[in-house]
Amino acid sequence: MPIVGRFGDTTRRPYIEGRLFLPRLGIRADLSFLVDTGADGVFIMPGDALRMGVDYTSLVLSPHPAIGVGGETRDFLEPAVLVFDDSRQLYVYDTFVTIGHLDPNLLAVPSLLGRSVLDRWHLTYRPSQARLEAVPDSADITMLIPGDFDSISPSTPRT
Amino acid sequence: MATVSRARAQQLRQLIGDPSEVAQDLAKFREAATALSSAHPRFIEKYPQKWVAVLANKKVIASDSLDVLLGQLDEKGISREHVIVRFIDRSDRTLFL
Repeated sequence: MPIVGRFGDTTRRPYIEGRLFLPRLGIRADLSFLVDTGADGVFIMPGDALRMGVDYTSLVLSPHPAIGVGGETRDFLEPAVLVFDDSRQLYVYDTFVTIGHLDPNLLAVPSLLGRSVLDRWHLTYRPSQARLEAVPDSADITMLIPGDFDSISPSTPRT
Repeated sequence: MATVSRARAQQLRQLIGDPSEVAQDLAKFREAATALSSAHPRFIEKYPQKWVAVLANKKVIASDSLDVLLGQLDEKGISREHVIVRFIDRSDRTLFL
């Protein structure tokens, strides 16, 4: 079973949903990640960070600047656990995420799922068939989901 | 497939909790995200330049600012963990990251 993503109906952007834990901050939340093979890692945009209740005064500056189309920025690095599901098991990644600084221009931008996770997946990207799927090659741990979730999971591509 | 120590794996399992619950929550969140996406053209007419939250029951809350919207969620006792929040942008901005 693959992890099934989706394409935005109007934007056609590729998204995959997952759960993010920030254990040091005692925060967990579900996020809709924009799949971005051009991003080196997972980047939590300030709109999602505020929604999750991240207290920016408790964050630690990243030792390395980030660079993107908007130029170079200093953001925050945070230990994190990411969880994705394929309706049969959970795939868990024990990692770090970058949390974007509070720039009003970035509030409406979706968080990015970059190569720190994507490099561990086999991706099928076929927008013409509304098909976005990921088969994990590895995960830090996996957890079996008891029972049959086919009946509740909308993990089927939109047609 | 596991790449962490047994002790760390145990910590991660405790942190994550019941896999069934996580899967159910993610399925509901995915449904809300899909509902928001499919409603986007309608939302552009109904909630232009507003922040909207789509709850697991598909109910929509809208506000002019993200801060106010999050405050409304808190006031109503709605957990932010499972709510998808998006800005309904009337302009068709191109995204390059």
